[in-house]
Amino acid sequence: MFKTERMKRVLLLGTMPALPETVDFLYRTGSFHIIDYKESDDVFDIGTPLPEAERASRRLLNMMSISQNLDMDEEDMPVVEKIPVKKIQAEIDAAISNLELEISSEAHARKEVKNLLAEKNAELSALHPLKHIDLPLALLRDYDSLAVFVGHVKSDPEAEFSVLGVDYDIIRGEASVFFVDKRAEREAAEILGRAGFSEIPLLKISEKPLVAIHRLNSEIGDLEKRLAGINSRIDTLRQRHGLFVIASLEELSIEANRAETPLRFGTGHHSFIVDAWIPASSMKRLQEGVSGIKTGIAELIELDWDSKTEGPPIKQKNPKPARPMEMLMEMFSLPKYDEVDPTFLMFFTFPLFYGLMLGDMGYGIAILALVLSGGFTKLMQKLGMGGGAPGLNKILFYSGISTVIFGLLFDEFFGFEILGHHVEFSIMGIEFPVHRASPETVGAMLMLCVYIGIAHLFIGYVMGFFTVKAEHGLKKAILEKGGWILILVGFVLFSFAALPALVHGTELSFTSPQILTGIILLVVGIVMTYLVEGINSVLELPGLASNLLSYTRIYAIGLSSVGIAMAFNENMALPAIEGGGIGIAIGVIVLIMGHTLNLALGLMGPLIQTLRLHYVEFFSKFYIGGGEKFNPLRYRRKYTKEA
Amino acid sequence: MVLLNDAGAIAMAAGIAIGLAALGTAWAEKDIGSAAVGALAENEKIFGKAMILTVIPETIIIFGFLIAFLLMGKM
Repeated sequence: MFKTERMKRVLLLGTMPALPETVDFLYRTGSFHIIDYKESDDVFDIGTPLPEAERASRRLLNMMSISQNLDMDEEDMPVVEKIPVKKIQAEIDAAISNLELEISSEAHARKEVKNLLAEKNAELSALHPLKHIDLPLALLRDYDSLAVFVGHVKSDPEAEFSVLGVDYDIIRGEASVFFVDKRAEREAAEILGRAGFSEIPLLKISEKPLVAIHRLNSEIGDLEKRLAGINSRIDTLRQRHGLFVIASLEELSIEANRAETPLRFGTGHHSFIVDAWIPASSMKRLQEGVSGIKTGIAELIELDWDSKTEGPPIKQKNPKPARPMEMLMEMFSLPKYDEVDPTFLMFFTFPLFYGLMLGDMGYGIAILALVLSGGFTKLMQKLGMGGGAPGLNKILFYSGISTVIFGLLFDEFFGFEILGHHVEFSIMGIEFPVHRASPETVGAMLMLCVYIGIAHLFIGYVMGFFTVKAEHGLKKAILEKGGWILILVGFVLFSFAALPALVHGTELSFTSPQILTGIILLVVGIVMTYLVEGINSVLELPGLASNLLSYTRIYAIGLSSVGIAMAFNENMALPAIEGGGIGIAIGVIVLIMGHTLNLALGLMGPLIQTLRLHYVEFFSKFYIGGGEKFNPLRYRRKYTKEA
Repeated sequence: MVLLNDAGAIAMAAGIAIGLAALGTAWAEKDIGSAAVGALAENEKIFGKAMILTVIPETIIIFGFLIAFLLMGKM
């Protein structure tokens, strides 16, 4: 539970004829995390792909180009049905040639039409600045005695033209046209240069600009119609063949990957060698499996490994309900092999913090509804984060339940108090419901948060104790983490006794037993940690205080969510509803919009803050991380099924 | 002119405490945040580390929040 799956380092040796069957065996069992073979001696070389690799990758390439021409979006394709592998293998060659015939002509036509469209659109936008010129464009070029300049100017150069002493004419507009006697062409160009002239290249069009614009528009319209026609035919093709294409892409990449697997093995003339990690619990089953290989001789041998230089891959091992939390560890960094895996603990603390923060029956029920109806998954997909949805769904489900429970304890339903004084109960001497937003509970709630922080950090140090013990032995563990535990306890004892003095200004008595014990524990703890960590341990002391205070965010986030809800309810919606008539409608709209907004904030805020309390405050007490994920060879099928 | 009474002064002090602390957090986080997003675009696997770095300044506003509450207790 607090340890990751134990691993064994193995070598799989076999004779060459057994290679294809062995590859299949490795994929079928899904238990081998392969270590790529590195050439180190003359006996083995890096392996070569199985003979079918070439055909598989050629077909894969064909299929990929078909899928591209069909505008397939591989991520978004819903799994309507899983296509049997047998069917794909039987039909794939015919399908590739048929689809290529059908699609490539359409794809080619589409490319042509798109090119033409781009060309026409470019001409159109080049013509726009000229549309006020009521002359055929042919009249703007190719004169023997006349120079023509077409383009934009920043200032009007007419005054300078008039002193040139030659004939000229100007058509003004968005772009201007300057006709000047050819003999003064150079001078005119200089004048224009000073006026900030930038030339518009003239197209090979002879009509008047407006006529040309009209013609181009109608041509573009026709092209767009043709493009729409092609696109709709491609759409039809995609709907008809899309599922088969995507399923065969999946099957072909599996085949190609499988055929290329020997690249990760070492091979000699007559034998091959596979270096891998396997879960220790599967050793016996896999050994039996290997001895079942019939096409050649194969054997699985266990190797010794040195934990100082090699780290096995990490496969987390947790009870099923806690498994969704593993995602939070993957997001941060997987534990190292000898480390304590805190996932199981987060299964309790994560929903606890989340619930304490949001703590509202209404929002909790809304979250549960979102999660259970699949609405949350859809939302994530829309935001382009569909990949994280399945894991986050379950985490939010736990958090939603805890939100409802704390909503009951806090008597909050979308910010309203619905239990009032009708339902009162007491747990361990505390009268419920506790109203979070009322001034009397502020102090108690803040203290509760600090208590939670103390407990959380304490657990963190205890976990750190076991991690250090596993890595560096008992003595260092006692000195380092034991020391920090003493510091934490001493600090808490001291500051709780000193707090009244700090807040109310009463005199601090250093002789009280609590303060004395606190100081002694602190000093002993500092000395112990100083022995292993040096001056760092002293420097980290203020950090401990800010870590503890950081837990008050649990209350702060909660308060802001209640505050927003109550502001919408009591300051905006209720006065409107009391007004009657149209006010009721306005009030209801305010309630719906306000609480939707607050729910969106309430989903994200507690999630991030809870994560932060774990990642920053909690993990920094014990966690190292950096483990590599256990990634065994196996087929990942989504659109296809075997047999 | 209305003279500021004690309660008013305390309330303003609380507001300033949390407001300035929030500003400090925001200021610190904006640079870290943009750098973190940039780094994430390069390598999504560092989300955990990026998030930790981004939220480190959040402690500043928690301090502001606590001071504000201690002040409100004196009203």
